[in-house]
Amino acid sequence: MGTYSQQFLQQTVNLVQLGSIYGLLAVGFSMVYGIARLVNFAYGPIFMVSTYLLFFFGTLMSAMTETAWIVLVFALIGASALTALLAIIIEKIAYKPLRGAPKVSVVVSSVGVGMALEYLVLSFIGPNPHRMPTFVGNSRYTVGGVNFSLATIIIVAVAVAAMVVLNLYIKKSRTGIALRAVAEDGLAASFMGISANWMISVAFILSAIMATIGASLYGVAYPTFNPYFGEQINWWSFTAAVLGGIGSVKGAILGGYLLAAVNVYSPMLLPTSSWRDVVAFGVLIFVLMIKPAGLIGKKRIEKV
Amino acid sequence: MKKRKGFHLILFAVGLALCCAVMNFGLIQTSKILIIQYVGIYIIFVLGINLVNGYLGIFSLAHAGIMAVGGYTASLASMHIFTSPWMFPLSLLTGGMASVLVGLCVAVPSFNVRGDYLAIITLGFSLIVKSILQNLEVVGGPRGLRPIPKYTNLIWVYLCVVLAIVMVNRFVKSKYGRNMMAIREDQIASELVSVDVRNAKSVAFSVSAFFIGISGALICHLLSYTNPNSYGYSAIIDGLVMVYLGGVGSITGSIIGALIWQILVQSLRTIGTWRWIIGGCILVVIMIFQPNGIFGNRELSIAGIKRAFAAIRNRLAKGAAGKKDGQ
Amino acid sequence: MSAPVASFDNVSMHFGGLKAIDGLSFSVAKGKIVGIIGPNGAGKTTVFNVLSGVYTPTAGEIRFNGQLINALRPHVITGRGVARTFQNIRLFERQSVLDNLRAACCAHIKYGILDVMLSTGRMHREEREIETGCMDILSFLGLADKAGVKAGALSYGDQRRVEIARALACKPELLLLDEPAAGMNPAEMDLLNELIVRVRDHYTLTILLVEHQMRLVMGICDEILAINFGRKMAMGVPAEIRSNEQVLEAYLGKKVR
Repeated sequence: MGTYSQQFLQQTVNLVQLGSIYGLLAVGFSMVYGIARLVNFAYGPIFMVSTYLLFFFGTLMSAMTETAWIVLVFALIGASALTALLAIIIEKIAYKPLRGAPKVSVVVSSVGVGMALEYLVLSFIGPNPHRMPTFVGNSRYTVGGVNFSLATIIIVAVAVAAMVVLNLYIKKSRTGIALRAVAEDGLAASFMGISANWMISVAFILSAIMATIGASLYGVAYPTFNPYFGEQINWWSFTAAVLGGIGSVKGAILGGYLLAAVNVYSPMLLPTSSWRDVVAFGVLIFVLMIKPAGLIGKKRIEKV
Repeated sequence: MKKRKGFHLILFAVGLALCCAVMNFGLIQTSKILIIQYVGIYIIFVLGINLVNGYLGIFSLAHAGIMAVGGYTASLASMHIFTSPWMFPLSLLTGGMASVLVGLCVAVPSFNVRGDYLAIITLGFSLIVKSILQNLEVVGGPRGLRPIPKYTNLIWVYLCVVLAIVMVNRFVKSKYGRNMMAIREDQIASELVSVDVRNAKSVAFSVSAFFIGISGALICHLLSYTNPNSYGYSAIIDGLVMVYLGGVGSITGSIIGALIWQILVQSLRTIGTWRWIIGGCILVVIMIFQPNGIFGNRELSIAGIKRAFAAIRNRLAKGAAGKKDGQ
Repeated sequence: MSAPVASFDNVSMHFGGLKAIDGLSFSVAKGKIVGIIGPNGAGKTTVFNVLSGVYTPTAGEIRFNGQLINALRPHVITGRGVARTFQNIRLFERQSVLDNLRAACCAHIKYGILDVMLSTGRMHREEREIETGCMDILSFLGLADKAGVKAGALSYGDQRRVEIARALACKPELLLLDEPAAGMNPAEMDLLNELIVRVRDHYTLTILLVEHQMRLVMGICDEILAINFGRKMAMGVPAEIRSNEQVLEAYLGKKVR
């Protein structure tokens, strides 16, 4: 058995894990992006806040019970609810007054919100990293020389389940259909009696829930965190969502996996891992140069 | 026309004299002078970004990378080639020119990629530049460059700011400026009224890159060190914030944006992280009330001030009349 | 008869399976006003789009003044002397009317970036020249008093005229008007009729126009090209077209026997 192919398989496992997290986060980003046509640069900081909420609820619950899954479920419910509330408040204060304003204005407003959130957390909690309580035991399995941990399996399973459920919800449910109608044409949808305002709130709630689930999975994979790391997540989610094709849920998932693939495989092709970012972004630029409307997006033929 | 030229010259000379006086007689604390220099340098930076993001209307995130190229090139030039202080302008020019070259590279994707897709490409460009600098041991790797000769002073900053304002003003009022704004409004229509879109974008990106590069060079020679981490996400956000806060497509806006943000960031160090919280809130509030920034697509002019006063007076008069009617 | 200003030779424009134009051939003689008519979706605007370079035709040859212009980019074609207006007005709305026209002069401006940075006499001279040129066009169309107004703030009729003015600022030989009478009432249409003829005579142009309003087309066109499903049905003087069986059928449906 060649070590190279083994290494490749091992990296593929990592890719699937990382890609599932990225995909989920990109879907969360893309919900708001697709429906409210809003590049939400406060998404990363919201994700960061939800990580802290998970941390608090998790620690709180761990004090009461030993069973890991109960801790996780209750922490998730609590954190999702509060994160969704936060997202809606942000939407009402900082984005709603800007309907009809240039797109960039909303981006800048969201940058402002993100900045305020990040430094609020920083001033109250401080810059020191915290460690997420252990939700998942660290059992390991080896199949054909490739290592799996229980964590990996759970991460992938939960992420895929969340994405599938969300996709079904958008495709099949009444609210989902209304959401898609607003995404297609807000004005026309409002003539059909759909409240665009309410649908945008729904999009923010769904986005917040995805961010929270993403945060819990991220916490399982990489337990330490600090107030700064929301920024990274922000750019990753944005990149993955755009890469897939603006406003497309499937595209966002695909973008997440592609981003993960580029991140995971590029060190294998290089002498040192420090050139990873160069290769990763080089590939991204290349992909966008040949597919200027993202992986799934259709090239728009402008009517003249 | 002639009269105004003379007036401008006198204004320029007075400014220059003031700078000399401040530097030689210690009229102002050194820390305050530093802040003034920051403001000046960032005015140049924001003017550069505004050409692409404001006048041309492209949401580009390439400014961090371009600034890095300008800063590094000029610093290397000062450290190895132009080693005496009077050669500083040559270093600046070298930095600016290097930035123009990379600016042209960034312009190429903008020919057929649009909107947020282009934003990601330019973001990638900035991060690639940062990553390359981190990996090149020749330029100090992650530690960066030091010591860079400390050539930047108030007079150089003043001269560069004046030059940048004059040049950008001429540029946006020329055919190049008209082309940029036509493309911003409607790219296809502008192509069909004979605007060469590729050429116009290349020119806009290179002039923009020139000024961004100069600002990078000035900052390196002010701090006397530089490292790749100064050109990451926060540099990108900083630039965006100043442009869109001050006002897109406006020279006055660029100046105001750089002024407000640098004063906030540099002089309120005493309140620590709270300045960022205040800054974030200011951004949201400004966007709600002035979505194009404080001076979005407008310039400060005497006629404009008169108009604004007239409008206020009208409104007051109307209000008074309305009240009378009500009674 | 002199050589044609513009000619289509077996031109096709396909979008996937859709044949917007299919083997179309015709030519436009110098100094004529030629109308293109046809039912909705017949490919009228596509004729303009391939002629002005928005799309590159799938097959065939398009010539302007004898030269092949198929693969040229739009601004090059405009620079050579083909200017157009748009069916749904596309002005630079946030800029003044004068600036709309000045932007259209750019193929005829020679000064470069150094002239701008040094603010040379050459630049000022050229800027003055184009400004007078643009003001002349505006006064000819009766828009001189609107020069400083933002284009987006004008009335619909004025915007239509600014579109024509902007196309004229490109100094064309061939002017393409895409439904210039859209949304006008009969009185306005008569004024437009007279304006188009006046523009043609004053600037010695050849005009190609797409139009639904028969009142306009029949009134001023020297020749009419009728197309349907991207193919030529007939071409000839208005009287011929009016009595052409095929054209009548396409517009009014098959005769009941």
